[in-house]
Amino acid sequence: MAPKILMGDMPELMEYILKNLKNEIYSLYSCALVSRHWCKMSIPILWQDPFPFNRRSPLIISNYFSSLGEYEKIILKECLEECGINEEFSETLFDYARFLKVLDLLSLESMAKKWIDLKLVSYDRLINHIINLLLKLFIESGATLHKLDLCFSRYFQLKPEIFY
Amino acid sequence: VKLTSSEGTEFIIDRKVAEKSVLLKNMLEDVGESDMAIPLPNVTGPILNKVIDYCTHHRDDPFVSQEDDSKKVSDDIDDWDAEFCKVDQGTLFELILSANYLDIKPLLDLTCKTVANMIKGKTPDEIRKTFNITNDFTPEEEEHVRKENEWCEER
Repeated sequence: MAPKILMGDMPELMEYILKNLKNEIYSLYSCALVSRHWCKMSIPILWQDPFPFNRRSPLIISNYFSSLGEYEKIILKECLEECGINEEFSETLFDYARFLKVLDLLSLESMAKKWIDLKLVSYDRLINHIINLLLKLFIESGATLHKLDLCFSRYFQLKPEIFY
Repeated sequence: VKLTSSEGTEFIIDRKVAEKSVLLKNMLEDVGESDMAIPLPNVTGPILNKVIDYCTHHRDDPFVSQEDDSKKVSDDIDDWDAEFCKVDQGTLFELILSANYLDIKPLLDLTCKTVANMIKGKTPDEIRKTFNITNDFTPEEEEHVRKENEWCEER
């Protein structure tokens, strides 16, 4: 018999166990694939601080795009197409943006750059657009940040309208 | 202080030991000194015995109250505590439930860390085997979760 705590009884205790693994991203990833309940418990912890993992794949950015509003998706799609990128925004299982707790603009910028590099295009204008879009998304997603690092590179321009 | 476990076994312990449990501490403060045994219907004798062992060993530790998420790392367990946690899985999970019920934060931290260490570094299949968990994903769901989280995979 599997322990009840790991099967859905008292989820706060399971959360307490899994929080010990918050810096063990690979273990959390394993947890997410164990069962439906484990997935539901580990995904929010896995996504609370996903950017500093520099060696990780920038594919994470694509998951956030799926949470964008319809209007933003259309604009982004046009913007990407202008740069020769054809990107489909498929539905994601979770609204990942909500889980964000730590945001460091420099890491976000470097992850977005890597994502564009992956698409083999030059990025000057695109990077700004993507970062502003993602910031807007994080603001609107209802994520509760515990830490925010506002240091950013001088190429980056924050668009004040994202706060409206 | 007198305690009775779920089967009715009586345990007599020092007040200082009992006060490691916030639940008992508050109770004792409300009721004052009394000869009446405190019934603990959620805790079995063998588990209560283990909990008392823990509280007796740690009776002089300073009291840590505030939640500090940032300090959570799963490898700083001392020898006595590690030895204490060498129990079968059933007992370990009973201890978690009791530590939670009795509100003994350091014991809850310790037991939860121990379980976290059992998860650490394992593949999903190894985790399922360790805890006897059934995979209730459909293959499509599993693939979907994998795809959206493949950024975690070591490259």
